[in-house]
Amino acid sequence: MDKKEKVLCVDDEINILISLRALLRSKYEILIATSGEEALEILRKEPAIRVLISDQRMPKMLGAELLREAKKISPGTMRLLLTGYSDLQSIIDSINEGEVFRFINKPWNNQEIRFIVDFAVKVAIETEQAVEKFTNEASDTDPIASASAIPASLENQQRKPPMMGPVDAASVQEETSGAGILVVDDEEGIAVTLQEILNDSVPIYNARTINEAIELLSNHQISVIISETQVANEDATEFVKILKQNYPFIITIILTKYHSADTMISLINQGQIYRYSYKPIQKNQLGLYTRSALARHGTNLHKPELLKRHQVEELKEIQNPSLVSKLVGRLKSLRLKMGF
Amino acid sequence: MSLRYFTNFVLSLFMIAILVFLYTKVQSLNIDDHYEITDTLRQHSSLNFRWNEQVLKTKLSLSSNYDSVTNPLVDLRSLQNKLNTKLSELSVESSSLKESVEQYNNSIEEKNKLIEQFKGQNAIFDNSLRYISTAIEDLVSEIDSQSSSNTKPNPTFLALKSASQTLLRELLEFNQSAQQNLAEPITEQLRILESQKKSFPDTISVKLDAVIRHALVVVKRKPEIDSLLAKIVSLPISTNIEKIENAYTAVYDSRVRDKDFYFTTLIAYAGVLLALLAFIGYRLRNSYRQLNVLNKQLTVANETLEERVAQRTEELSTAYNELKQSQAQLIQSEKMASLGQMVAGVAHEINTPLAYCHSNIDLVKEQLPDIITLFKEFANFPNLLDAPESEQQALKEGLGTIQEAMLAFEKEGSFDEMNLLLEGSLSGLNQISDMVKSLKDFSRLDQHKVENSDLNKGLDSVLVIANNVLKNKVEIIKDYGEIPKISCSPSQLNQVFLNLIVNASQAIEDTGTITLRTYSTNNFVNINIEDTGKGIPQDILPRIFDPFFTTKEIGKGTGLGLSIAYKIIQQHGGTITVRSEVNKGTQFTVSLPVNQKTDFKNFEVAA
Repeated sequence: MDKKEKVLCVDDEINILISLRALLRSKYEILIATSGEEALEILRKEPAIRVLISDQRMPKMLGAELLREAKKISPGTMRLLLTGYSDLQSIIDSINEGEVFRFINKPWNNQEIRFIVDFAVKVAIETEQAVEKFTNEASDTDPIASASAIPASLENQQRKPPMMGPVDAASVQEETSGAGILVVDDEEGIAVTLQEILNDSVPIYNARTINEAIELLSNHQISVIISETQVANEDATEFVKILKQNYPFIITIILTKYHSADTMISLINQGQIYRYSYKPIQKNQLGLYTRSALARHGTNLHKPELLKRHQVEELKEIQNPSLVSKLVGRLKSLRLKMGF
Repeated sequence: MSLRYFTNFVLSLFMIAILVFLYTKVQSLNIDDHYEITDTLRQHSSLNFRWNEQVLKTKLSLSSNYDSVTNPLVDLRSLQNKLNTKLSELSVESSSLKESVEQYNNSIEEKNKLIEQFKGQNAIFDNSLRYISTAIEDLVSEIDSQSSSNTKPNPTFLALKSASQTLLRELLEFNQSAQQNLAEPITEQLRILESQKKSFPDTISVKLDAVIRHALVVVKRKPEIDSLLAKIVSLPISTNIEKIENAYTAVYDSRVRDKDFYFTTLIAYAGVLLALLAFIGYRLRNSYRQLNVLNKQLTVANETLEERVAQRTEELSTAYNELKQSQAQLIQSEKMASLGQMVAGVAHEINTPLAYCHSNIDLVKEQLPDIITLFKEFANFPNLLDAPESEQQALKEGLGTIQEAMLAFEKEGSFDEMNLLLEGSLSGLNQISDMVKSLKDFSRLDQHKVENSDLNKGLDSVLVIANNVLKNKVEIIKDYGEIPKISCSPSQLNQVFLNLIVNASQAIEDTGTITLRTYSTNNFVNINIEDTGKGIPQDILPRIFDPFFTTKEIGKGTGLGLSIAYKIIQQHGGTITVRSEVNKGTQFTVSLPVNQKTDFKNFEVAA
């Protein structure tokens, strides 16, 4: 029998840990921690922890915080967050800082949690192998990458603020040359601000409706989508999710006026959005997110195996089937354009 | 405003003064005076003329009475006085007039003096002149008597007689003609008679001597009188009068000119005033018209006022009702906010045990089919025992399977685990039921007023409800005393305690403690809630119970929490007090009377 993969569960409520262990121990080696600090300690000591499952509400260190720190210590570990009653800000933090893979709602469904954990473990193993292949092939001798069992070289790119120096900026330019940014918003503000930030170095397209967005997608190379959740009285989240499902290369940033925890959670689980922010967003924050997204897109193009880390759940209920057919109809040309 | 009125008043006074001034100037020329003066002057002239006449008459001896000479002077004096008084004011204006009046006065004085002299001289002269004829008659009669006595005419006597008669004639002639050359022969004649005098008898010589004396007087005085008269007549009185007249006329003319000027000015000024008056009238009429319009509007406004007042009252009462409604809504929203907070907290508190209970039972249920299978195998076992030899192998295999399955269960710790899971689930369910009980205690929705309410228990239920905000942040220290049960509205008091405890926890920025102390004093139950938070600054401390006062961001709090708490405690007949020190903490003390007399009917209003 193969050695069991390691899964770390964190919650201040011991009964939850007991349940999770009972649920998962037949397949995985379950490590438990009752606080964020304890969890980080385990992450530092134990190599190759595939999945981290953390509760959001814990004393001293919140789940989002733990995820952010865990990402630094063990970038290869897939991060799952248990959410019951959480405030919006902690969800946003776990998206933007913790880069959470899935949210798991409390109370959970045992089958669902097993499925998610199985999937996350699989992705973790596969991406680890891919990264090992790269490090062996390339002459990349990042000290962190070589020191860690799961090389952090790729995650590193996002960890560092993308505007650190001219080298980073140049690499961003190089990697994303040609592909543009699509702003899906019925207001002009974001597109105008982006134009100012990026100085025309990247083409920017503004779609005021979903149809316009599809039209633009089929005619231009797009690397990053910055979208509202509501565009011209249409729900844009489904569009974002379907797009990500069918075209995983696209990086999505959500900028919205509408606040809903459920929407955020579904956008992560089914849309793997990259960043989420309320409007109005500060100019430099938008610049940071956009440049970081462009860099991520570049990474994805070079190392498509890593895309698995952002694989989405299947959409269970599709509200607008015509949208799917419309999108899928354009998909082929899209893939060609993106060199997929 | 008053300054403007004052200015206007002064201005009008000034204009009236100008008008009065001009009018007096025009009126100052008295035509009666003028006529009187000219008349007086004319009278002077005629009187003077008459006077001269009288003087000349006297000289001619046409009148031997001096009254006729002095009488005009009396008249003249009175006239002079009149003239002087009349002209004295005018003399001030004109120096030439003054001068001429003075000259005139002087000349009158001079004339008077001369006339007095004349009167003196003329009396002597007149006497001698009258006497001379008598003296000569006496002499002649004497000579005649002497001659008759002698019978024989004496020639010398006769010569004397004729000489004296000649003398009389010559003297009268001299007096009449007043020619000086006639005086010489008379004087010569008299010298001859003087020399001859001694040669005559004494009676005659005496008489002759008288004649000679008187004759001499006549001859000597006559020229003096004549010169006096000439002087009198030659006095420039009429000239002076004329001068006065001229000067006066000049003055008068200038006055007339002045008057004309002032008159013209007055007319012009009056014209200007009239124009001004017309303008003011026009303005007045305009303002009157405007006033009229305004008046009409006012009347209309007055008429509609009542209607508008009614309308406004309606609006006001509508606004008041809206305000009341919105206040009620605010209170409601405050209630909903605290309720929402409570519900969210409870939901989270329940959610966690619910999550693992659900999961655990699911897991146990998953293993149930294996257990059922196992039981079925066991149930089948007696049948296998009864089975023929040929099936012994199957029996062994079956036993082996059961053993294996049981070992697997054992090995995996499934039984222990199942026990653990079920125990966990039970404890979770207990947790949930505790929660529900606390909720029930907290809200006491079943009754408003409770006779015997234990506030310690109430506080515990509040702590369960508030656990969500307190957990991981605040350490709760309970210092409950033995307190009597009181009659109150527990749900409302719990609302107050929840509000105070949540506030206390919000005042604690990182971690801290909240101490709950209960004790009884003098028929009062006291609940003391003390935190180690940031405290309330002294300047806002008195305002914390005011409705809508909040230090939270807009949208984060209604500012009604403490004001509602205050009202609830007040309606319970109790007090709520606060003590706070910045950076040390805050302490709220609620004191409630053990024996309530409060009417709970109106509680819904506050709560």
